[in-house]
Amino acid sequence: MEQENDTPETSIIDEEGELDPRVAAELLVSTKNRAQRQFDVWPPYLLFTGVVIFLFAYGAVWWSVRGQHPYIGPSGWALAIMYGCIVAWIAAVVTVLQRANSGVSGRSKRQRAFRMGYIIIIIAYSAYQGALYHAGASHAIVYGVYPASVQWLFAGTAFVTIGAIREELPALTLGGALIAIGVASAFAGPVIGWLVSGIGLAVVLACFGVFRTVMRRA
Amino acid sequence: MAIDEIDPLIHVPARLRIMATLASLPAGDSLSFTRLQDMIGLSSGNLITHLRKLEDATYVETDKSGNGAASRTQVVLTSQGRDALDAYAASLRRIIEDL
Repeated sequence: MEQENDTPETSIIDEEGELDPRVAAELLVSTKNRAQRQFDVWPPYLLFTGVVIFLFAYGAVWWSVRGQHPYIGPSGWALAIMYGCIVAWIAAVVTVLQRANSGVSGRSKRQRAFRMGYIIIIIAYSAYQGALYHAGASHAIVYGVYPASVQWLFAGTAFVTIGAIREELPALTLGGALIAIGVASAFAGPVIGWLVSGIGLAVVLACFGVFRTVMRRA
Repeated sequence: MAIDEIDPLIHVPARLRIMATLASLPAGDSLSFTRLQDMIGLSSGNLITHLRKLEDATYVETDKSGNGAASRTQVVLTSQGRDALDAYAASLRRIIEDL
């Protein structure tokens, strides 16, 4: 083992001490809880931060497009706020992920494969938006309905697929909720669609955060 | 149920913490020696000794890769180890209920 030669093995602590069963039970529970918190890649505070960030980001875009006749699309400042908020949140997610997965093998390898999948989805999403513009679709579609709704269909489909393969109900539920947000946003149209996406995602993240909090305390 | 019926190998604070920490990972995932040491707060010598005892009982497996300063050791809880910890927790519950 690493550092095997650095420290003598003569002083073994905790070896022969009498351990009360109640103390042992408390130690078992507290150690498990602490470890689970340290390994948690979706801590509730991150999810609740996401609620505020996505409400603000999509709210800014909705604010910039409300009342547009004909629909032109989000203004530069609104897009800067939205992408700035999303990038900041993704950076926080990646930091938490790296800290939680430090020294863990197995799960971290699988997550690298998932990350590659997400990057491919984002590239396909952007390329398809370009194709819509090239095909002469209206601004309401290219800069409204599509960007406000389709990413949730992509993300939802990915989570449903992962949940189905792994038989994980939370991932299936999350995927279904994201697909519902995407569909509802598309039906809401290019203006209200942004608001539907922001509120929908905030609700999903809040529910996920409450679920994680309850699971931690159970 | 008597206290001497519970698994004496796990019924030691340091090894209990090692087992509980490793059991918090999904089955089959391993943890580096360094991260485990950080989380448990034992000296490397103590940790090695406790891991050897758990390894002898096939509760954990260690896998060393590389040589010298670049060497890495991964520790994983085996299915026997997970079952033993579950049985230990069940034993504790029964003892506490009887108290």
